[in-house]
Amino acid sequence: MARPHPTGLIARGIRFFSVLPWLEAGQRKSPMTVKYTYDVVVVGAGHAGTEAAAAAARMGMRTALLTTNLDTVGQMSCNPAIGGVAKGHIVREVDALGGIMGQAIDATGIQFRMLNRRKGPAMHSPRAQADKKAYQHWVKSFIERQDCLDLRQEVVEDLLTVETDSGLQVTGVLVRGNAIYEAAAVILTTGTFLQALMHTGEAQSAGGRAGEGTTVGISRALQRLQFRVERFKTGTPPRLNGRTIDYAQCEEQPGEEPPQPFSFLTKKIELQQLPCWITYTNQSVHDLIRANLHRAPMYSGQIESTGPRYCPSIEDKVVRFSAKDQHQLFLEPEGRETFEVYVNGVSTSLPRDVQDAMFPLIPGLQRAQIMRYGYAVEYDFCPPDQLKPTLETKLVQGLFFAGQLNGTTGYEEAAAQGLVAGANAAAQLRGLPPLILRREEAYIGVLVDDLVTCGVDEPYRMFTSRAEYRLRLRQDNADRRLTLLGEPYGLVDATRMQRLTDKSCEIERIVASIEQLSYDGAPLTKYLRRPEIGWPDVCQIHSELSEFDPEIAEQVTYDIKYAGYVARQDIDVARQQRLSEKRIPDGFDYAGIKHLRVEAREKLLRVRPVTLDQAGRISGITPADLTLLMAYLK
Amino acid sequence: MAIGSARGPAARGVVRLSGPLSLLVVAPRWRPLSAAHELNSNRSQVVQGTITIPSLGQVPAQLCTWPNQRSYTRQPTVEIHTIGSPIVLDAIIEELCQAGCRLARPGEFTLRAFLAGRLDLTQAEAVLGVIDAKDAVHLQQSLRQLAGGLSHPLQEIRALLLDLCADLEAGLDFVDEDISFLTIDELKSRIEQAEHVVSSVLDNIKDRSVHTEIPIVAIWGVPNAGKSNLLNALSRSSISIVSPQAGTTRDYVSHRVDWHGSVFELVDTAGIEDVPHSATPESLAQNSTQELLDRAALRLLCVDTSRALTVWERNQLALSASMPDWIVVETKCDIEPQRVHDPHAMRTSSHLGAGLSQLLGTIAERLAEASGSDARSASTYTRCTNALQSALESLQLARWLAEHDGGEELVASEIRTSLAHLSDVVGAVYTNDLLDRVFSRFCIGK
Repeated sequence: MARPHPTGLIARGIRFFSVLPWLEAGQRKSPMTVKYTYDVVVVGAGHAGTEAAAAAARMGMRTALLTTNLDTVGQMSCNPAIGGVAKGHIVREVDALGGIMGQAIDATGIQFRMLNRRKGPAMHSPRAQADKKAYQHWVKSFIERQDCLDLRQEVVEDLLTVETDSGLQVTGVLVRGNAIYEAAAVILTTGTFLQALMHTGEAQSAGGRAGEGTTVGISRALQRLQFRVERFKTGTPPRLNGRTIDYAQCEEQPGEEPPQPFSFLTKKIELQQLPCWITYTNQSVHDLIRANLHRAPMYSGQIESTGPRYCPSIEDKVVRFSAKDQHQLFLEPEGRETFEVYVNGVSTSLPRDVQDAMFPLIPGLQRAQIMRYGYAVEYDFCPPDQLKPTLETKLVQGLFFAGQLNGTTGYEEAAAQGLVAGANAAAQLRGLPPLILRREEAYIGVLVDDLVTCGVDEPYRMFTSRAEYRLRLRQDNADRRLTLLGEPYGLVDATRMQRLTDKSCEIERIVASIEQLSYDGAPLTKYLRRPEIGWPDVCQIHSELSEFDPEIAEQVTYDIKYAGYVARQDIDVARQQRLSEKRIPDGFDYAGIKHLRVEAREKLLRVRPVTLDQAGRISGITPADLTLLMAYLK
Repeated sequence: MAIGSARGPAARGVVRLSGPLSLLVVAPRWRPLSAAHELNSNRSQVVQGTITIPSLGQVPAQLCTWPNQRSYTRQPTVEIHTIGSPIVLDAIIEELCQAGCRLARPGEFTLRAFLAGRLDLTQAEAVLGVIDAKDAVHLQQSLRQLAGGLSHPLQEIRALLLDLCADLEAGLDFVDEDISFLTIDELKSRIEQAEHVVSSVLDNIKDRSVHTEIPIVAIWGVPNAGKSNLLNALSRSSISIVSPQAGTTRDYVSHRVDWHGSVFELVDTAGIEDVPHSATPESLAQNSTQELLDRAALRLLCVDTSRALTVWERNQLALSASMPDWIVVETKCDIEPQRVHDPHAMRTSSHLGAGLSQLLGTIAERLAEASGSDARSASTYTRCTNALQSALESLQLARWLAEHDGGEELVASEIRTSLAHLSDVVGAVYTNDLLDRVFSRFCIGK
């Protein structure tokens, strides 16, 4: 079992004192540096950090998870919900690879819905409202129970590196109080806490989350190591006291019965569900906002960084879509044990007095009391084209980045990256091949590939439209797609494998039965391909089919319905595959391609794609550039 | 035919020939090392032996042959790999020119590959980048001409489909919004609209059939060689239309001629001065004459039989045999009917109207032979037609799915397929294209 070892007990060749100039300068003379030795150190215990640490630990790495505050492990900083279209798919994939998120939300959700039910099966996507505090505690105790993993409260002040023959290598981190965590792999998941600046109207304060501080040491270290750092903005809405809301004036939005779980391990969700509520803004709210636009940091020039287009602030909505006379607001409970309500749809950084004046104009919220004001936060991120597909940085070996630090938004996107970084850090130390999911295998594959290939020009969120092979990336088959891939790494345990095996056997039996049956003189599979025909319909025709597990059988019908499309996509997949086998050597000399366009050369030099396939997906790289590149690679 | 290796001395030089007869041209000059190295016109080979060049003797060489369509240009192709000496290579080129080969224009191999469907337009453009810009102008022009007529309507269709796809995608990805992105009726009617536009472009292409650019036939010669009279006489003896495309031949007298369906632009050029002066208005005129001649599909080299040949004319006549796009025309044959400058020349008299129909017939024949323009436009149009036809089929499937409640994700998939077919000719679709459209049109914000 992993226990920290004081430095004196372990003989290791590397000395760190030389990288601590101020110690030598005698500014803060300390008698002795305490040293702990781990395989993997994860900095930050949010959704990325917890998944990263747990994944590395599952793979047998002695892992330390460092957080500035043990009371905010797995905290949901913004909306109290997990999943949603495409995001729900990601949670299912994280779960299929043994991750935490799915189990955590199943245990602590307060409302579950399968979105897009009226669309085809590939579009179905689970979403749940969470009890924020319960969620956080569940994650914390999961981490505490995990073998090989130590959760510690530390403030990381610096990254330690050493120059080797093959380049810069990370060796650990220095924490406040003059202690060193030595590790051959360090995963940074610092979220919005780098150089974070919060805005509420004209008022500004340093910090990555209301009431919390910002991280300075790591920012300095990243600068010293010459990472490109850019700035994004995001926002959060005010929270109201639910007791002061008149729900009678709002529409009720109930959960779905029975609730559908996220985790492939969860059999059934027993918890009582709570409703959400919907109300709307109106012209007088919009007038008020327009009259105060000059005081909104986004419009006064106080904030210059880019925010996400799909999550605009209310001031943005009013300005950009002035023709709309109302905007929808979702009132989402923050937990079972609190009355605090999250007002989804009214993210704002307008000054307090405008926020105060706004709610009395909204039906149901006339008497609502604000408990926390909305704010915008600006933070540093490292453009992710500085990463390899393993999420290891190109500049420093053994240093991995995951989560919002990479310019993404969303708990789910963060968790997925955490899992990928944790698994790859461990794989590297154990000498296993890297775990790189392909675009046709998983949304996680699309996510990581998009990030490292295209970089980001606004906070990155997953959409199903980003996945060109989405018809095969269903939420219901995430286990069939990924669990087997995770198994050889040690990411998934025996229970999961058994579940998968049972399911696969049942699927085989169902397929075998269907193939022998027919309807109306034609094979039953052909009948099932018709859009309007479902499993219950064929059970009525052939009653012997009712003995099968209806949920699994439903998935078989999805396979059948999409088979033609999937087969057609196989051609594309194979072509992509061939391109991805054309590897571009490390340090390939793009300057040597005389006729390459300047723009293309700059982009290729920045991203340094690993394969031709990846090069082709860099935005701004044309097929023409690719052909040239191909010619030079031969 | 072109030298396929770098200029200047090198260990190895390559001369590449492409065209239906390339193997036949090389075969009589080939002496194989042994029986195993005999040329075989049925399969691709690499063979050793020597090439017989009269001025040099036996030159050791290796031949790589692609007698069928599996070459880069999809035409029979031969590569002669030999000593990389400029003298040797030039001698080989000269000898092959004697045998009827023509030097390739810059980028012509790529152009042929493009026309053969071997490369798509963007790929061809890439290769274009490899050719030095100055020389590439011609190829660029021809590529633009190839694509230009169609790229506008194709772009329009692409934009239409992208919008439709963006609306569909928005409905799939942003389910919690209080926006109805697209009703099923609207979806059906917009697919129908797209189908309509695609089919009308298809019909349009069929109507225009093969024609893109009218070939130019340049009348060429020293001053007073009878060029203008020939132009007028030829125009009179055929259906002549005043050119509506003033721009192409603005500085010249020109007539559009239709000879039994073969349409070409007959252009009178400025007379060639025997001794060019420097920087005079005449020499400027001759620069633009040269430009016109380069663009011409055929040159009619006019020589006056009523008088002796000038030095320039004698030189040109000597060259003419190896120039497949030249036709030597002897003019004013009524004045001194006995004098013949070139036994292979077409003899005419503009005054008597003699030899004109034969000449027109020859022009039409040569143009059809050179067939560059016909074949090239035909193949571009075929590719566009195919792309549009496939796009249309996907749209029909999309509409069927929409009508039968087949799932919007499948409808979207068909529309994306349809866009992918178009992308062969008008550029790929990136997710950001779609997202940009979504975010600029809808207020998404949960």
